[in-house]
Amino acid sequence: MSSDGRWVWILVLAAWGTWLERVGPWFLMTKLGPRLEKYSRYAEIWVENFVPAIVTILWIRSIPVNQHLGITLWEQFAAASVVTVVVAWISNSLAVSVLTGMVSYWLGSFIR
Amino acid sequence: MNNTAKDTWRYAVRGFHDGFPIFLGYLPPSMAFGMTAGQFHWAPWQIVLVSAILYAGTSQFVLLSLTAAHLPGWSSVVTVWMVNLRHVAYGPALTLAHSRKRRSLAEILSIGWGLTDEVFATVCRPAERENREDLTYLLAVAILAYAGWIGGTALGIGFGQTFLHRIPHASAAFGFALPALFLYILTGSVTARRRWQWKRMRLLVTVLALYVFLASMGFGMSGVLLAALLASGGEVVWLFRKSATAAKEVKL
Repeated sequence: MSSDGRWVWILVLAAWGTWLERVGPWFLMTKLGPRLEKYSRYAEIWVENFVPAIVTILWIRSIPVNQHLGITLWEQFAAASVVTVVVAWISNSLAVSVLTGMVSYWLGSFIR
Repeated sequence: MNNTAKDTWRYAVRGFHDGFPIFLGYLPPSMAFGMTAGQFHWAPWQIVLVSAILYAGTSQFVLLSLTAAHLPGWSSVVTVWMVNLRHVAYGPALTLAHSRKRRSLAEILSIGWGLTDEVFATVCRPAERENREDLTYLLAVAILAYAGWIGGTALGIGFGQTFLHRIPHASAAFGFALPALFLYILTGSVTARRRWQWKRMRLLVTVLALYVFLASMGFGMSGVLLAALLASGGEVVWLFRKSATAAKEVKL
């Protein structure tokens, strides 16, 4: 596959573009930053809303729809999600919530 | 140990603590990538190289299928860029999230490579307001996440099939790590001091509706960024109009 060298330049260009997408706008924003001070309240509100907005979509996209989703797998996913939310609410600990969610999903797969 | 060294150590520990769930969450998809790329007859060094320098989950699978389909090189490259387009908003959002400190180019270059969905969402939680100002904290989260991705890729190449056969339903447990991470972050975003913030529900419903609409229009991964930008921008406009109306009423 890599014999014609095509693979290498595709990878290099893809990686450069991805890296620039992460770094370029960030650098530009630091330059614009002082001019945006008067909008800082709205910027803060925007960030507060942007994070849950993007995380909601990422969560929806993380649902394993590419697997054969029987009703039991939906139930297993929903049950583990509820357990994770409850533990997150009570413990306020990232590691505890994620590990509890994983264990409950793992246990659910035995019942299934 | 002086105060600065103590603080650096404290931030590093906090960063590794917060990065650990991402480390766990990255193992299954990166193992899957290692296994799948092996089936496409990629050499182990090629598989690890893609994970090491591209370091972008979904787009690595996209690259795998595009190169296997022998599509024109430029279309593969541009597709990968489009898949990762949502990352353009993460750096500016981090800048806006901490107005007290402006990052230098060197700092941006040293963290920017590791600004994935999960790293961004983890460091941008309201609880991390103080920590995310610190370079050590950000680097610790990013490095542990990167280690999970590279380690998982290597494990997938070497032991993927064996591992999944030895532990029953192991892939199920690891497969839920990222959804659990997102749920934790969401819970923190819709609650304040253990009280539900119902106004956030409006945002969640809006963003879901927008995403479903954009996905049905064929926007794909760029729909993720567009929906999030529109929904969060809409909230700001709504608040701006609300405060303008309130100011008018006070004047009257």
